[in-house]
Amino acid sequence: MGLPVSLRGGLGVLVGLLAGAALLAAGCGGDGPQTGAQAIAEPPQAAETERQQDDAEPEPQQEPAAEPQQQDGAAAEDDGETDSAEAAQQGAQQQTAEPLQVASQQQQQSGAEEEERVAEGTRLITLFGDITEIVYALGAEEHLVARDASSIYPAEAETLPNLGFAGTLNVEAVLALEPTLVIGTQLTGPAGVLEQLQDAGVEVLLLDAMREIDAPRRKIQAIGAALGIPRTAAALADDVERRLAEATAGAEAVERPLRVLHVYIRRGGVQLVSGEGNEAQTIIEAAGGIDAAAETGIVGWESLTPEALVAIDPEVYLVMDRGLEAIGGVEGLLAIPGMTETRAGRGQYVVSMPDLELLLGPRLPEAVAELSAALRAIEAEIGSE
Amino acid sequence: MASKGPLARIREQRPESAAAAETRPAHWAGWTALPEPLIWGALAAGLLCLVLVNLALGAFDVEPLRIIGVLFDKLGIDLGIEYTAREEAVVWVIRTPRMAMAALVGAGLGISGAALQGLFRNPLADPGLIGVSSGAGFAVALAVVLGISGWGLFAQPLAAFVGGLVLTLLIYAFARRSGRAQMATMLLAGIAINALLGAAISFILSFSDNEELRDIVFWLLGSLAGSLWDYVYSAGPLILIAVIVLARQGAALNLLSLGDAEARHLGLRVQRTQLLIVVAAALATGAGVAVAGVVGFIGLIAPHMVRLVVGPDHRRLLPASALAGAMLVLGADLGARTIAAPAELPLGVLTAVIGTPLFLFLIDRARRSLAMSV
Repeated sequence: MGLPVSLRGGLGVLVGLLAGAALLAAGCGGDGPQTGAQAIAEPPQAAETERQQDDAEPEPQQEPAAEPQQQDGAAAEDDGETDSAEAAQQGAQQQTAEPLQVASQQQQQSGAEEEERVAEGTRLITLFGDITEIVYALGAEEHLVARDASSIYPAEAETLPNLGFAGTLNVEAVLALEPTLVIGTQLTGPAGVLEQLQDAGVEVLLLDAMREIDAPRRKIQAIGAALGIPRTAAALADDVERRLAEATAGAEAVERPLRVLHVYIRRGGVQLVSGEGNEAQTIIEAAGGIDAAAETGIVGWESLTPEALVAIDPEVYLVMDRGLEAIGGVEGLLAIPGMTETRAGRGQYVVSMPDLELLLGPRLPEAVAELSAALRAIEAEIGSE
Repeated sequence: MASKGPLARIREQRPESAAAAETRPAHWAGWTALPEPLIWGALAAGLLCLVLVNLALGAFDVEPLRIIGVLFDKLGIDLGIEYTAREEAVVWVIRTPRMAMAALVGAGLGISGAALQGLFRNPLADPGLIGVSSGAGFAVALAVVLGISGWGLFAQPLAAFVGGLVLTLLIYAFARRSGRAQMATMLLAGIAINALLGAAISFILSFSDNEELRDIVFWLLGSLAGSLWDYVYSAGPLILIAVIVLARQGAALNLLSLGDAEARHLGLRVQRTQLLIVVAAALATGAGVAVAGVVGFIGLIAPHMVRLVVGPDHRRLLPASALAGAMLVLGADLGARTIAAPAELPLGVLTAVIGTPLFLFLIDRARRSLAMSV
């Protein structure tokens, strides 16, 4: 197609910026509308862009004007991928003319044609298990410099310096690790620490509580955007969703869903049941079960009382590996008053899963598949009796 | 001279002077005080030392010279010392306000403890033990959940103050119903009230969302992490006012230690003085709790430690307790910041670890010398 080669430098700059913004929007918002800025990948120019990025010097504003011919809004045939890639380069190149603080952002987007990379020099601290896990899944773990106490998956994460409970951070110790980016949850604190980190020039991202089935996608995309690797993140999120669809496919055909109760147990008498609005409900429902506590009107976490347990009368207990271990296995679990007075207790139907799998991270599909398989097995057993 | 009341006359008397000897309570007998300049010099030097150590040490390494550079720059004196923006943030945004907060909170707790012990004529009167701190903590938790703490800079310290004040008055009234504050009555009432408030706080926690939970748990553990200048500006003046008011009650507390009736006969306006002390102590404790959480033991051990050195005279005991309290909290917070780095230890845990053995030692010592009454 004939591309008009008529745009002047200034307009090229403007459109380049727009394209960059569009890419950011697309990266963060998922399937946002593509703008009219069309692009065709032209190898020579791409190579040129690469070289400029490598030099990492502020480019004169005129530079991008060499390639703005693609940006005439007329053509619309290209696939979105090329579009974003080219736009990324242009956006990035535009931003090189800007002061240092955006330098990290655009470098991340620069190698778009080949591979997105987290900017050199990014030093990342993650303050919850699912966040750390996502960073590993995104392949950005080399940038991690520390983690909180809950970040115990994958096993390598445990070799990172442990900052303790994310709610009582030691701000000086955090700064001593020279982080550029801290990603945490709403539990991160104390409140003053966040302000102090920002005052010291550290970027802080606090994720909202996400407990819906799309939580992995939203978390992955938010973290990917913060790291400047939105397309890697989108690909991971797509992958998680695809595997999740596979995992839930079987669940839809279930005739009579089992009523599952998630019990949170820890040493020292901590015994809670999980109800409406918690992560467990999302996973149980995705696996073709019914959250027994939510069904009886329990919202959030509630302490476990024997009578309430009997009233809920679940068919399956869902517990976490560490908790079960702490109280001495299934035997210890069933020794808790009221536990054996339910259908789940009589049949000893206990499903135990790794703690962090229940956090709605990248392993949600595995969690759903595992639970789903366990529920099918229990269903078969009940049916055969 | 003749126009002055008996209180003024007593205030003029030095404990060392022979004339004053008759007005001393019997249990002061045998106390030989160290020279005053030595006491104040040692306390001031100790405090200064701890302030400097707190500014110098932390998980983030900053050269001492650069710390001096930052601090002098903030005072408007350019020493020409280079430092990075991050070092400036660590020293000025993180360490300095935290050090100031530690000193203020410690001074408030120390002097409140000394004043309450004098007022209750009971060496176990401590803002933590008799429930003042938990009253303040409960009020803060309530304020957070009800959204009152969003009303402004002073909302939280004031809520804590009101909570602490109500609790102090309640316990004071309860313990004094028989005319004289009974040690057992007061402690038992304190234990009961602590238990009730603990339950009430747990109840509030069960309704809290994550963010509120974080804030409330933070108070219960006690911590100076995240001390901002804003907190120093909001709680600092309240604590300072209370400390100054309490430091001036030394002579009155000396009279009160003779007994209410005796103090009244000697010209003291007993009820007014008592109320003033209770309000000031609640203010110092409450404002401290609002920013640092429940920091235990300081109000209990600071006066006991100081008493070993300065003796039972409240005119010296009160200001010295403020200094000792500040030193204790500065020391404990230094540990909280550095011992477990990169993690942070709860300050309340450290003050308990320091305080408990120290207190047991003091009790044991007092038991042996049979001199432990205020």
